[in-house]
Amino acid sequence: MNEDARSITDLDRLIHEPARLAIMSILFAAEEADFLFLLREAGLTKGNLSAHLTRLEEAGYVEIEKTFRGKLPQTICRLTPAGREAFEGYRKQLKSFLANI
Amino acid sequence: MTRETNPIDEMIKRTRRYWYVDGLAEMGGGAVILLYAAYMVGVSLFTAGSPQIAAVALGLGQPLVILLGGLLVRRVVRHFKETLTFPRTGYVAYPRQKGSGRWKRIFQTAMIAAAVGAVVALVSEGLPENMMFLVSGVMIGLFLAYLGYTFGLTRFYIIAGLSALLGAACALLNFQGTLLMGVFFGGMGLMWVFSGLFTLRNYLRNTEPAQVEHE
Repeated sequence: MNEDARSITDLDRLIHEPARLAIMSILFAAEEADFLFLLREAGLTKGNLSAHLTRLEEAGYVEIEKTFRGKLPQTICRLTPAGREAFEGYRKQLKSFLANI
Repeated sequence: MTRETNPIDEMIKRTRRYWYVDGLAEMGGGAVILLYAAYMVGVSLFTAGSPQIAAVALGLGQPLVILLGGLLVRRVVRHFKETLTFPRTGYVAYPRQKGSGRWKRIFQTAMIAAAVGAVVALVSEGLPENMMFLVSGVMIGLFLAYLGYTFGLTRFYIIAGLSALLGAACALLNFQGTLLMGVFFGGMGLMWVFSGLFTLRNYLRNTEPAQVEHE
């Protein structure tokens, strides 16, 4: 396997999935964001977003906090330090791969 | 030549731009400028005939007005975001530096402000007083253009152009003195507030409070 091929196969597949990549990008720019914002910005359905968030939470990339705003339930999501590090690594890898094309 | 947009960078930029989606930040900025303008007008009216007192009041009061006004406006903007924006299009908090990083940032900001002040003083030295209005208008315009570029906000380029035009108009009208500087900043603040109001009106027209918060 040549170097270029290796660098693309080494990409973190959990982040590489488009919907999760969108979620990670949004959370990378913010300290935290709620479910409603992620839903609108990522353009996903509620079920889809929930499923992707659960996978990211299981991987230790995202932290989810259930709280209330007034009487309404609110789900706050934020990247963990490991998630931030993984996303930065992913971006670097992707950039270096694209630079070599 | 077109520049390719990286979708990840664009998503990050969009998230950062969200702070300006409702115009509240501009209205807040405009309110601080209006406070500053009111202070200048006040100093000019109440210290007429005593330039030493006016100089001290301006030197000590200006940073205080901006700092306290900024803190107050920040709370008000936050309150309106919680009641108007977050229920409609969602809540986002942005990273805030803590500890030594925060002080480093404050120090850097103070250094940049001092450097800008020194440049303005150097540029305006030897220039007629009315040209200070042009220099101020252009400097504020450059700052707004930078914000427009950083966040991809077209309306900031428009306000930037208008700021420079306002400065040029005041210079042409031969504005001089603290009172008219207050009037100039009053116009600048109103421009920001109107831009924010226009943006808020469009935002409220195009969005509705979400029925269900989450799964």
